Amino acid sequence: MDHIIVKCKNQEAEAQKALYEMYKDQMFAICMRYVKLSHDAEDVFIDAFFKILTKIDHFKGEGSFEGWMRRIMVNESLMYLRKKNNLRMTVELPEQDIADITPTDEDSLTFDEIMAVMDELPAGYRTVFNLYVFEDFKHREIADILGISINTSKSQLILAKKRLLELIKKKDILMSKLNS
Amino acid sequence: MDTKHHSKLIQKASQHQVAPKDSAWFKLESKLEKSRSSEKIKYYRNISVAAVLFAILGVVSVFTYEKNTNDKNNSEVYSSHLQLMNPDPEEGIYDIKKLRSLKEAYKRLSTKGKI
Repeated sequence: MDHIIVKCKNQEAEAQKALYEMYKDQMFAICMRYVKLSHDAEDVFIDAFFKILTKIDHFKGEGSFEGWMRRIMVNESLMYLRKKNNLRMTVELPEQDIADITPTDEDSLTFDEIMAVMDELPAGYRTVFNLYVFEDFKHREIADILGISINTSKSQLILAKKRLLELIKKKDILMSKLNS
Repeated sequence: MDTKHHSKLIQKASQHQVAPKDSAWFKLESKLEKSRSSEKIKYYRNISVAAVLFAILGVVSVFTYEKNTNDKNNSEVYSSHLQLMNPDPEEGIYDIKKLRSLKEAYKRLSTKGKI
């Protein structure tokens, strides 16, 4: 792996192709989680991989290379969403409501169930959900990244979980109707 | 969210894979080609700018050297002429006629562009 990175730093075409083949599926999956439409996700993916391959000399070996690539993919996805002005988040629950939240059904949703309906979430809910649940950011960090308040981040997460559960239940009802 | 469940979701997300279309690589490759070409152009442009600057420096330094050499030669000629004219160097008395003829000679030299 190290020798591929060194060759990529010298902009060798074969090494760049090899790196792309190693990580394309994982990295594209990240873009698909953030960006709703697959052709838009592909554009974001290409721009992000281009940045990875041309700025690879910025990777100094601190931390994992995969983690560095993932951060670039997430940042490019967020930049795309900001450009499209899809990150409007104005709904904020009262602080008391946030404090009163106890673990509920939505906290036990499986990964497959989430992925089945995630596309139907609004961009703001989906983004905060991704950053909190899959990238493991804290609300303070999400607030800094997105330029929102901590309470907005928390509200968006709660509302995202509720919406996911509603969508899954709706889908289950639809599937059972179709099967019967 | 339960920590164990959360960790499981993070792990699943890191292993999740979705294959992009084959065309994605071709689009990326053409972007990389363009980037490599523009890097080469920048490199050769920088070299040619440096070469031009060196050439200008070289011409200026040669010109300056020639001018300094001429000035030095002329001042040596002038001081040797003065010494020939002066009958008494310690007293510093100069023959006015000889000074005038020297002045005329200098005028002629400067019009010819030799000073």
